[in-house]
Amino acid sequence: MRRKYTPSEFNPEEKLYRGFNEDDLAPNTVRLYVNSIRFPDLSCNWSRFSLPIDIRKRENSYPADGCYSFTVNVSQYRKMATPCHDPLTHSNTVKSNYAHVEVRQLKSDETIYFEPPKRRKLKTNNWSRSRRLMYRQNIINNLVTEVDIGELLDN
Amino acid sequence: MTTFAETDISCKPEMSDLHSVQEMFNREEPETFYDNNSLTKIYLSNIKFIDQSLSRLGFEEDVFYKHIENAIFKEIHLSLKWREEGITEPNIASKQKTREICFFLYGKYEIIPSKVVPSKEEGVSIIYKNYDHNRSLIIEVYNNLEVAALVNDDLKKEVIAGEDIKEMNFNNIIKKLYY
Repeated sequence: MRRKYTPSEFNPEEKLYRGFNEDDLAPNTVRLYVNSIRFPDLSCNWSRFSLPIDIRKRENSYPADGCYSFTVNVSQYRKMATPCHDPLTHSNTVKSNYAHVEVRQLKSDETIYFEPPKRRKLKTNNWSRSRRLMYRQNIINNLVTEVDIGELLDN
Repeated sequence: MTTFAETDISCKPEMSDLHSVQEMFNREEPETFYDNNSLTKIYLSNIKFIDQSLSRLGFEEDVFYKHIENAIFKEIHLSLKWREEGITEPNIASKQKTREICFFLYGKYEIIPSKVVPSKEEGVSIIYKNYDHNRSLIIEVYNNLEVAALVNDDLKKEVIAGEDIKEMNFNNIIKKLYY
């Protein structure tokens, strides 16, 4: 059985892949705005164990989904959150996915090497609304398109 | 304050002009290209701030108010996919607050949003563009009626400032949009 990694084992320059589709684009545009990013608990795939196109194999995905990436470093913006390795094992409702990562919200006194428990409930005012908005916009500012919506790839 | 009626074009709007206003709110600018390393669309030099276009057409202000009302109360809907993800629709109170903010910022600063869209954070996102300074002002109105705003440098791709908005005080954040 493969092991689960801790937040301290993420390389800051490694990528986190996320899927997107047309519903995430602002009307009449081909770009993502901050409104399509949610904070916290973003589900991603870790580049160490997956390719961008693997995003189309995730649960509830569509065959034409696009993929964008941002770095581990970006996910730790202002030490507000950190990526946590969260391998999914196959069940009736979930496909197995060893590369699965959750970017989880941190409290202000926690370091980026701390692993917050899954589904931890924090008051929304743990971080102010504007700080959360800045976090989300920073992802938009730093994301890279890996696969366009509908793009066909050889593999 | 300059109103549409005070512009140098005195003609009344025709129905076809109204359609063109609708298109201006909805369109993406025609001359664009894509940065291969980013989802960001790069805007070229012929962009005009939308209120300048409206002013040139000599519209009455109520065209703006009606359009914003329409954009907020008729066109903001969550997609099925977002609903399946468990996102809640913007509620009526957040939409009313959005309208209040759009009208307030138009009245005080003469700025018009380029987009009013639902947010995954459960509320409404209002996006203003300052093409002269390559900056965006993003305001979010949440379903619990909290309001947050930020100014982003779209060229350097960095957040310049963020602020929780209390009692409709946008003074500091608006300054960042221009300086």
